[in-house]
Amino acid sequence: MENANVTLENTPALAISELTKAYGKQVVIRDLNLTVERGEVFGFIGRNGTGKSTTIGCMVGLKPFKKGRILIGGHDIQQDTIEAKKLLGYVPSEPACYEMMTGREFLSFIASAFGLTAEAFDTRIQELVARFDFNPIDLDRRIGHYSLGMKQKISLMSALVHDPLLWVLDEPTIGLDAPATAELAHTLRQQAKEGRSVFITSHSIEFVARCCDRVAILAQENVARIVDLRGGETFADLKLAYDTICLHHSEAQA
Amino acid sequence: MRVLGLVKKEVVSHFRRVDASVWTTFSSAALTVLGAVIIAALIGYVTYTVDSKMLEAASSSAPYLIALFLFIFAAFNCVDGALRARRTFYSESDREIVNPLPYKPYEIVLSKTIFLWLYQIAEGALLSLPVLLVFGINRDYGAGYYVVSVIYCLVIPTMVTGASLILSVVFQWVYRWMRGHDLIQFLLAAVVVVGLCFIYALFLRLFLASLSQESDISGALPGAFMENLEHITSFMPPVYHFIDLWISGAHQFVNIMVLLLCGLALPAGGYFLSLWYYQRWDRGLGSRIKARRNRTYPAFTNLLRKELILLFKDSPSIFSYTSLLIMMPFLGYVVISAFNAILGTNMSVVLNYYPLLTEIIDVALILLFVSIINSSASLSLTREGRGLAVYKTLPVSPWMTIASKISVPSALSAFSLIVTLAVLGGLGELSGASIGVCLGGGLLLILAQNFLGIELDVYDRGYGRVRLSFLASICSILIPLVASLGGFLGIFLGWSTALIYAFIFLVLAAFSAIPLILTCRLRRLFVNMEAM
Repeated sequence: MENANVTLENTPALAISELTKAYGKQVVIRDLNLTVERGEVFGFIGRNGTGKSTTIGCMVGLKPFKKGRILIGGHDIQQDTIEAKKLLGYVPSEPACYEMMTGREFLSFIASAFGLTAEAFDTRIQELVARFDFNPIDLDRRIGHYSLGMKQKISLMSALVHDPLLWVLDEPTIGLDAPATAELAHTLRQQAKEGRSVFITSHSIEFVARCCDRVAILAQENVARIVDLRGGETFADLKLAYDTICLHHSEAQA
Repeated sequence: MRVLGLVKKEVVSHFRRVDASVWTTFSSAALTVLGAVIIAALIGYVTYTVDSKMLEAASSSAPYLIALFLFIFAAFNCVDGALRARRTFYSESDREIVNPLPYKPYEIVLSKTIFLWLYQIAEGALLSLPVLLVFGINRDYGAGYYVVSVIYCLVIPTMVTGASLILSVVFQWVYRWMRGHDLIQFLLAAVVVVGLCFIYALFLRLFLASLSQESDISGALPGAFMENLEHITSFMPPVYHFIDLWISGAHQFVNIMVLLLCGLALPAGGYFLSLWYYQRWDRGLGSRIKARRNRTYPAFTNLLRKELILLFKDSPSIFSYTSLLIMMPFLGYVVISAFNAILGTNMSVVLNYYPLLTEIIDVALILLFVSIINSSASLSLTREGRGLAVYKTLPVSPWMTIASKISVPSALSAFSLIVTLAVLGGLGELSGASIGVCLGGGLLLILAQNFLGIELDVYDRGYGRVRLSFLASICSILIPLVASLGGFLGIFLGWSTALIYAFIFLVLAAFSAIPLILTCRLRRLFVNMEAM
């Protein structure tokens, strides 16, 4: 859609350089460097408290940072905020919807904020309802009356309604049943095929291995290793690397 | 036994909070008991003073005034019970838990009915027993009277439970129908609020009249109303028929038949109607939802719409802000006119020396009303809840966001203030100077509070070690009070009228200037706010 055209050509979907995020004296992320290319599904895994959600918070503009730079499609998230945000679709770890709105009202709110026309929104909502197997009747019920899985679906749909260049998902499989999780994996790959990029965190190594091109394993304030699943490495390599890094991390903490 | 298990589940799910500690549970229970005692004491006191004055006047209407009180309480219990019944019967989350269990629908409905009946007995006793006890004590009745009082507190709530079950089905039907009609929802809420204001006005007049030793209680009620009280209460079954049978012993056959009819038909009718509608609801019948059109809006309009939805569709906002906003013109008139009447009657000597006293009290009350009501909407980022995580990722400029957050509650509060002042001015309760000060000072307060709310919200999310949002509530009371106290001081120091009003306005302006000056930092603070 038109939003994707705002991006600067030939720039990566996401480029993080020297990112450092601290709360007072406690450093959570130190000198992090990452690049996610267009058409790539990038996994970001690590144990609890290693800074996955903090990194995402910095990427999508929820957490300010003093050192480093994050470019979304070539736009700096702290300097050129609005243009950068236009290229993002964000799915938080817990569905963050306005519970007193109906599903349709919420999607309309997000679509309007991203400047979609009524016609574009109408077309898009029909695609998304079909893709996520969402009962259209439920679109006119209040989100507060939805089950957790339905809230998660609405959250996913709201992040895709403007067809973003970079789809950022923080633990998106929580609350989804097996068919919906499989459909999500398919959607992630579909996005990549269409030239969009995906940045995803998950505790499920199997899910990440199934849909990601590359996976970064986070430990001790930075990326410990990047496993290239499309470049020849396998699920076994990913699992071994993850277990080794986690064990090393545990020993270091002990 | 199976049904009793379900009743126990209802009790636990209504009264036990998730993750509540023993201390929280204990303190919450203690506060509830304390609140109940205060309400019972207040009802007892008002009844005592009203009934004593009726006795002094040797009025034959006294028992019927008591019947009126009891009927109002029964009606309140009925509406309250219907709202509670609707929540109890038609809860999606409860259905998800109970449906897979091996219970028959009649058992589920029976358990909920028993729970509601027990609740009605407790609530009915809390409201009605003080009235009955005071009535008996004032007339030195014997033990038999008190036994019948206890029977009243069992019999009437049983009938009220039945009526509330029938009403809950109507409420549920109306609720489903209104889901697609936002304007009708708003109009209905306004009508309900106006109705509540009139009931409140009646009780306020009675209460203020009862506080005054000299005033005549009949003055609080229209003369024609008092003269025809017996006739009027005869249209209030089953309370009138119980009281009439009990106190006067007249019309025994008719009264007994009405009581029997209400005692059997209401509970049975309520139960079977609820059972039928519950099964219908459980099967998903009648739950057709009208599909809406897919629409989009310009960016700022979109943000304004969202703010309106948060204020008008979110339960906490509806009860703490929106309903009070609609109520303010009526509440303002009721309270100000009652105060003016009581002060004019009972403090005429003081008013001879300090004629401005009434006006400054009126100004203080209006500023307090508008300030307290508006402050409940001022923490506009807190109102976002978890939605803030999505809201801050939207490609919208910070100033547009702040403007939308300030303008909606400011416009609504300002409109309510203007209507209130127009009503009070039009009905001659406020002078032109008072209206001017209330309007100027009130608008300044509204704007300053809404800016302050965002500033405190932003500060609490990442800048401060101590949460400061509680200051919004404190300032809402403190600033109008300080300004008004200055006014009172001016009266006693003999300042001119113009100087007193100028002083009040300047104090308000000085306080309001602080958050308005701080707005120069607001954009940067908002951009750097932690929203996750």
